[in-house]
Amino acid sequence: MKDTLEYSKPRRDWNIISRAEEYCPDINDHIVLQTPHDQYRLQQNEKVAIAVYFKNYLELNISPRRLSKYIPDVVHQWGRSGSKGTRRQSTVSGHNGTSTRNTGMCLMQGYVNQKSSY
Amino acid sequence: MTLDKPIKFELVIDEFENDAGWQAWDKHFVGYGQIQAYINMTLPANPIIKIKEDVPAIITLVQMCNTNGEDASIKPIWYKNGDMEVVRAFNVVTINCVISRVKIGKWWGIVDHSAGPPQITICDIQEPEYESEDSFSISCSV
Repeated sequence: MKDTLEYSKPRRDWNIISRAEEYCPDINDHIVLQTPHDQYRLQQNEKVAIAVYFKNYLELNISPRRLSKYIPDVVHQWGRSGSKGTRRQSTVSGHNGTSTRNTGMCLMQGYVNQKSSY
Repeated sequence: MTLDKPIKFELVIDEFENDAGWQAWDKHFVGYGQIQAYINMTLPANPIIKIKEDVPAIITLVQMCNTNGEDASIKPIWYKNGDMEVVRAFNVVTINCVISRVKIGKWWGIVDHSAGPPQITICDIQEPEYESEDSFSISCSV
């Protein structure tokens, strides 16, 4: 019977982050950003959407269009994200370029009470 | 760089957010959308707009499907091909899971992969009033 048993792969040690990933525990302690990584120039409608998020999150008395002027033009963009502690390296989205698409399921667990641009 | 994997996200928002003086009332929201990008950025401190220190954030830009906030884990949800809303910004923790889609004609059906209906929420968990045996034994030993 031992010969027929198939052992699953060992769980990933999430304390080890590769150079293709970025971990920001000061922002979120269970999200790992993964490549592809690039500099991204925000468009005006995207800056307004982000401004709406910060306006609600920080409860600012300022219009989103005015706040969007203080948002940097170029930001860090990441292609995927993983959730620490999951069984496999899950991703939320796939890269639609030349690389293969990753369809791993990802459940972001945790209490969500942060406001958004909705 | 374009990302087109649809995702599901959940929000708990204050329904009376814009009404000063009203008591906060959490409203549960379920939505589906396509991730455009994950953005790791910092809003710099600026006294003009009353931000005292830098605010780092991981934000995801999502183009939402027009599903009227209905939950695909409860009943079938369809949206018309190309019937997408504007790009919105969310905190990355809002994302619940990856979903799949099935195309029939001009309509997309959403296949929900979440663990269960997100409408089931547990609130007002109260501690039992009785004293457990564990705490009793501890008090005796002391």
